[in-house]
Amino acid sequence: MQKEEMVEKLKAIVKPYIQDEEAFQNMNESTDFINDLKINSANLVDVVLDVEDAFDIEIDNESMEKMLNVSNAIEIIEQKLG
Amino acid sequence: MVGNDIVDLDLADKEAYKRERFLEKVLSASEELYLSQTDDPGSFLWVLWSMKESAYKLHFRKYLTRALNPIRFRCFFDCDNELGAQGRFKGRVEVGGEVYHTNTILCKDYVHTTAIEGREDFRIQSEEVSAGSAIKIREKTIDALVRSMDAASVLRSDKIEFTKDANGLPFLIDACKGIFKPCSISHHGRFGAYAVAI
Repeated sequence: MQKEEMVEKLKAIVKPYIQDEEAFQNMNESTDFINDLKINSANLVDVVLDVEDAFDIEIDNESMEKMLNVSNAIEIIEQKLG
Repeated sequence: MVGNDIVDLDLADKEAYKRERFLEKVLSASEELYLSQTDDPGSFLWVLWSMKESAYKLHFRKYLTRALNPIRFRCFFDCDNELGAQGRFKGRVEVGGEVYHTNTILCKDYVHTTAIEGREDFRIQSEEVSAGSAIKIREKTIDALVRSMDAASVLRSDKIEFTKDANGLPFLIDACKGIFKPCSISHHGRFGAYAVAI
């Protein structure tokens, strides 16, 4: 999967939880889920669960710790997809 | 040092306690046991969450390490048999060898926890504020925090400013006197709260 495609897929997943529309419109690999998109941390757990469903992968606790920004999320998803 | 967290119970998912996969990612086995023993698990999950989140803020202030790791923050209560008497919970959160002490208020509309390091004898000034909408709540919370300094005769509200440092940590500053006072603010939905040592 291309990086852009991955960002688009993540964009659809985070959409219900974002609180900064402008940062969401400009979402890219360097976007931070909490600092930029203002997703609250309980909702970020929901994002992790939705990523698991969308990509049919399991994100263990150690990987979840790093799910704070788009680039880490992509790295974790790619690693789990193998 | 102090951390705090408020949850608007209208906005929080009160059905989240039924979601096994959510619980697996955020609660330990002993916390799930606490949850199964309460009459109101829908709200109690957010008691645990706000304990973890307020401790996380304090822990971040100390170590500056970011992580999405709620499960590592382990909640305990001082008196198991009086769990939540009058909507008050005294407890502690343990993480990586640290122990943070917590005070939680649970009412119909919100859950609010303040976490402090150790059993310091300084007083924590803490207050919940509400606004009709989510839009003004951050402003209103900061305003109440600044004004609380007048009431406590610590700093003069007309001389201080609320600011965040490069790590996003909140402070009250009096530039003339060179005072930097750490504080914590939280807002969610209709509610906001602050905590500050005085």
